[in-house]
Amino acid sequence: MSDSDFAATEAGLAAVFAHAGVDIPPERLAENYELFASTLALIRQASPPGLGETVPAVAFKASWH
Amino acid sequence: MELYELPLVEVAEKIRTKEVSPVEVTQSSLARLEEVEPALTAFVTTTPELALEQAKLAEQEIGEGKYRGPLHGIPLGVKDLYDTAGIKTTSSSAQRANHVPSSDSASVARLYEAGMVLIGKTHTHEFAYGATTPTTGNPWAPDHTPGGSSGGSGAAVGAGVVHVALGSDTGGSIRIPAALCGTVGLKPTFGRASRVGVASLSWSLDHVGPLSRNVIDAALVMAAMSGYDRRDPATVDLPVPDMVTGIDAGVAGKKIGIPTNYYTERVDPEAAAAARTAALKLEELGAELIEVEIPMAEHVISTEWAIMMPEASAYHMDALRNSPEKFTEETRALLEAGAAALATDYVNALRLRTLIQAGWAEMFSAIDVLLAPTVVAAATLRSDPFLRWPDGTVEGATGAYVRLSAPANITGLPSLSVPAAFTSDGLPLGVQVIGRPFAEPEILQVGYALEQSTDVVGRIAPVMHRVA
Repeated sequence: MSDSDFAATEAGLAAVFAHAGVDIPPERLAENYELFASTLALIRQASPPGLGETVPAVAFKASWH
Repeated sequence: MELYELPLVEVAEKIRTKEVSPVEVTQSSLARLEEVEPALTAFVTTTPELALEQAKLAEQEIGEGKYRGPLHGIPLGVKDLYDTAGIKTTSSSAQRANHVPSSDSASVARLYEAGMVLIGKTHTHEFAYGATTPTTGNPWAPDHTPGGSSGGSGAAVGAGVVHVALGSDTGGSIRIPAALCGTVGLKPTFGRASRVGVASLSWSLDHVGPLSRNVIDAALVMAAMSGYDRRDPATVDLPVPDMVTGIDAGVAGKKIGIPTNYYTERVDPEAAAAARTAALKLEELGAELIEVEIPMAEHVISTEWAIMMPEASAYHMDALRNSPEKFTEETRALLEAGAAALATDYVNALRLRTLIQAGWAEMFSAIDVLLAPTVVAAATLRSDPFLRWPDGTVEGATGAYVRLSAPANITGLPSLSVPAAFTSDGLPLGVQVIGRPFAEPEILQVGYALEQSTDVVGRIAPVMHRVA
């Protein structure tokens, strides 16, 4: 599946929320499904193929000084 | 003319020369607060007793020859995300309705050290997670949004209650309300100032900085807030430059990047025209305009949200699991969505961030600063927080406003928003000047040059006239 046609299913979301320990009753999930699915699709767009050897940007510069 | 109407530097000079007392300045600020607050609801908590106590102390110190500098005795608003010892700090959320910190955030401590006087805590979009601040009105039209998330700070400065109020900026939350409320807003370089004691939205995108009436105010306050703090591992151990001396150096010979993409797409014609006019003014002042293409523009928005959302959900995970009903519905749903993001998607967004940062570094090899509109359009109605584009698409206000400010969060580059124009409806618009890492003095110089060449910077919204 390419990054552009990703769409979370309601059942898939229910499983992820259960795994995350976030309690979302079925009616709430149904009510917000469009928001959840479109948001996760947007997030998936930041995971395109071809990133190769690129390392993550690490913003923090931890220091003991 | 009332004291609150004078520019900060003039008030500071009157305080320094003992022509006026910090107590009089504070009283003027409190009187203006009383006048406009019913129409705006800019503040969660006001602190008049503390303010007068701090002002009396400042008066005493100055009387004894212990003048601390131009911020001594100047009133300050602080976004309710910043901890203030002994003063309720709610993040405009029921989750923290009774939260009273025991110590000051690093920025507030530094500004107290500079002698500033706390007028109160300003409203934020709940936990900074949005760009409309629904609790608060725009000082130029209270039925319109002040923007956000630092909307209370924008409203308080725009209405003249304070010359300076603190904001935080994860996707534009200083610059958006600055632009929509007609104030200056400075998001510094990532690592320039400590975020210790400020509730986080996204650790790797959060910045702290001021909203202010004039450009020089932002320079004074940013310099006072800046510096290494071992408690914030993002801060960089670099000397804090003098951001005021040389602010009037002008822009002759400066290479100003003018974007040919991204900042030009789905932008209201009046917002685009304001940026064009600002660019032409800089050219008249001797700057060179250079067209540039924004690299990897198609990945900016997804990268911003893919980093911000999981970080926000991680920060709020305990509350999301244990007391989700205390969030507003909007915040709760966003936090839930972020909790469902894959770790691999988050890490890949950080990898895209590496590429975007590299692309911007390359783009900056040809320019000194980038000039662009701060926001895609002026303030929407509070009752209808959407933008409608000619192609028929409808865009939520938060998503729309964040579009043009997010690049400076992803890259960590400093960005200064300066009022640039008023729409035909009388609403403010801003332009932003984005600089190289730690080049705050340079973007302040450009902003100052723009300020000097227009009459739209430093205005105070009448507020009550519009309400009447």
